[in-house]
Amino acid sequence: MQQKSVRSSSESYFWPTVWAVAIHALLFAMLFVSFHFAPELPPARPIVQATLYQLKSQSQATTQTTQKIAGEAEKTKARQYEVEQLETKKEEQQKQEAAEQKKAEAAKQAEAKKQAEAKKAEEAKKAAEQKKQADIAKKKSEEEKKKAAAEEARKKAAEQAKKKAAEDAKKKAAAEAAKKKAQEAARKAAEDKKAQALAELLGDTTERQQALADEVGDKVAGSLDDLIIKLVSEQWQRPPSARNGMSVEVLIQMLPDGTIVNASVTRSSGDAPFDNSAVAAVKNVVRIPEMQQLDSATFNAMYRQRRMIFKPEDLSL
Amino acid sequence: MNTLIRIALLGLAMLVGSVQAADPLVVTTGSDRAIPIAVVPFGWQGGTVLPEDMSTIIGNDLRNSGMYEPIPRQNMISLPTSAAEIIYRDWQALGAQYVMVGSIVPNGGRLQVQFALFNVATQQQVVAGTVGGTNDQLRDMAHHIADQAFEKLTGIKGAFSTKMLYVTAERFGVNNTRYTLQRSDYDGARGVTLLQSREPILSPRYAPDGRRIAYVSFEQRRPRIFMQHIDTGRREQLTNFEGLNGAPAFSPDGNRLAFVLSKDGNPEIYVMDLGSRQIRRVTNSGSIETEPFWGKDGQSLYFTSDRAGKPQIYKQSINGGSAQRVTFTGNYNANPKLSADEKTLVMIHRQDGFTNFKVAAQDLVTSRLRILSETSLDDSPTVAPNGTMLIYATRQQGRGVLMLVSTNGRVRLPIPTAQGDVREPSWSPYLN
Repeated sequence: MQQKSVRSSSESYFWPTVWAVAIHALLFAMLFVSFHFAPELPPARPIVQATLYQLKSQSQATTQTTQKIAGEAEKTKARQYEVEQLETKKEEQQKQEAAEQKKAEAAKQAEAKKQAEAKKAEEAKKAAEQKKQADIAKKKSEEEKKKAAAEEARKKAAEQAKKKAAEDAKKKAAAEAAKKKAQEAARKAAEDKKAQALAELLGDTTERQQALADEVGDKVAGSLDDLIIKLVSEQWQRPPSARNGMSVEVLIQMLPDGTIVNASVTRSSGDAPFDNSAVAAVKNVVRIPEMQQLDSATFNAMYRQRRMIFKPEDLSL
Repeated sequence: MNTLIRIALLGLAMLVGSVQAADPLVVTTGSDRAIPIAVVPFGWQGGTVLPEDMSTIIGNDLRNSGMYEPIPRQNMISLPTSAAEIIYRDWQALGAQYVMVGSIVPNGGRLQVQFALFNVATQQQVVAGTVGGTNDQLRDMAHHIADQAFEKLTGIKGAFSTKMLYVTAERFGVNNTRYTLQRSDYDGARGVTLLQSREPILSPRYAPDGRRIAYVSFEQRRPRIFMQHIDTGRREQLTNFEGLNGAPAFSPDGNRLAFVLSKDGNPEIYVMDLGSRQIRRVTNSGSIETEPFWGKDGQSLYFTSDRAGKPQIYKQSINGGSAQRVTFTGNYNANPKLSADEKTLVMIHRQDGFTNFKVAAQDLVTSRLRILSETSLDDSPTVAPNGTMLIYATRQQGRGVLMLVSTNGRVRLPIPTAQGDVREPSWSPYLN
């Protein structure tokens, strides 16, 4: 029994050993094999020229003249090409000059814009403060108005009460008046509370700062909107199927560092090349580093995911 | 208490409102100029000089689309051949938005080409890949790379690997003209003769499979329609009717051929079933009907007719019914060709009060029309399968030449072709 078991154990090691050696050998061999999956262009198919039987005897193509004609044709072509190139060069020069002028102008405009923006920001601050004051004033005036209205109402009520008094007992009228007065008082109290809460809200310094920061954030976000639109439209090469009035909606997803991680069609135009061109335009922007100037709350709310509508209006067909 | 809650809710609503101002951004304009792209000469470690310059071919392909403008080689500050060697500052200084690098490596009698395209502003890779082929396939590989780059950049399938058919005529003397039917790359390179004749060849057209062509040959002194298999050179005569046999056009499924016969008096349009060779008459009028072109549904034909006095383009079902007139602008509209999506009609157009024939594109929905060519006496427009480019025949200095125009109108250039008069271009479908 024991012998048998020993023999069987040695037997049980045989095949595993063989397998192990074989697999190792195979793995080792694979080190010397390289796989490449590069597409191989199919070999050019031989093209067979068709023959016209009845023409064979006639057509003794004079290759010399052919070459001569070819040479001449090439010469004239070369000349023409030179002329054309000269013309295109001239055009290019003019274009470059124009481009430089444009650049200079753009720089000027950019500076002017900056200054204007700085001014705007200051003005906006002032405006915000003025607005707050105006709000308080408004509230006050509203309160006064309400009071006036209340008084008028009271007067009317009093008149009514007088009329009623002629019919009903004086006591009842008095009771009603008292009731009204009480209601009025309650309303007044509530209004006072409201005003107080508002005053507290506005008076609180941290909240005021928050409000200010929000406003600035909105402004940065606004200019980032324009930047994104500019960068994407510069990359947007419309297919020939694009037409004015077509529209595709693309969802873009960004990281806080401005990297565009994905762009996908959320509402197709029905025209695949048009949809693809919009997605490609977004993807070709790749990264918008200016996104980093946003605080994370604003970024998350506005740019982590943003819808974009591509709707050409400048096409000629 | 109630009012308090109301105030609180109002405040909350105001806060939320200010945060959720994320309306969708609206883009209404696209790139209004060709985007500068640098295609750096590909590295090559082999001993001999390669017969073709791949990077120039790729640059020209991208330029021909009208969407990209390759930066001239002499302006390049450095010539990197791999991603690691790119100094982005240099390319920014040149105004390049994209830079393509590549290298060609001999690999057991064949060539292995690696390429990569980068966005200069972000230094990110747009596309990269490898392609293999023989020495004779450098152009094929270049067009293949241009297709890949173009599709990644624009979302539009590239058509740079497509082919062109055209006819050349060389006149040696009175009654001695040699006509050839040529097949070349879309850009006119590598022309191969498919047929040679001493009598005119007209209207070559590709079948949708790209393997068969049909054309009109006068080899029997009369115009007759032939079909030829490109790979084998095998030819079949399809028509032998009295009078004019002309203007063949394969149906989108490749099983039928529309053409013009004048056997019953005036030219009318017929459709042949290529399996049974049965013909059926489609149009029926006392005027001239010619130049049929299939609608993408395979059930309708666009054609030229002078039933209103001057040539105009009409559309009619192949199963009969009445023809609808399609063109109304101009006093001459002929030779209709459609873009693959059947949105744009391309044709030869003459404006009212002018004598010049020009290539024009018309939107089939709005009927708006745009002139595309700047030459005159233009003829035979043919559109690339992706619609971004078209080629037409025109005359320059008394010689027939082919011109390429990008559909956006930014690029217009002559196509270098063989000697002689060149005419009757016809663009192939996608071949891959």
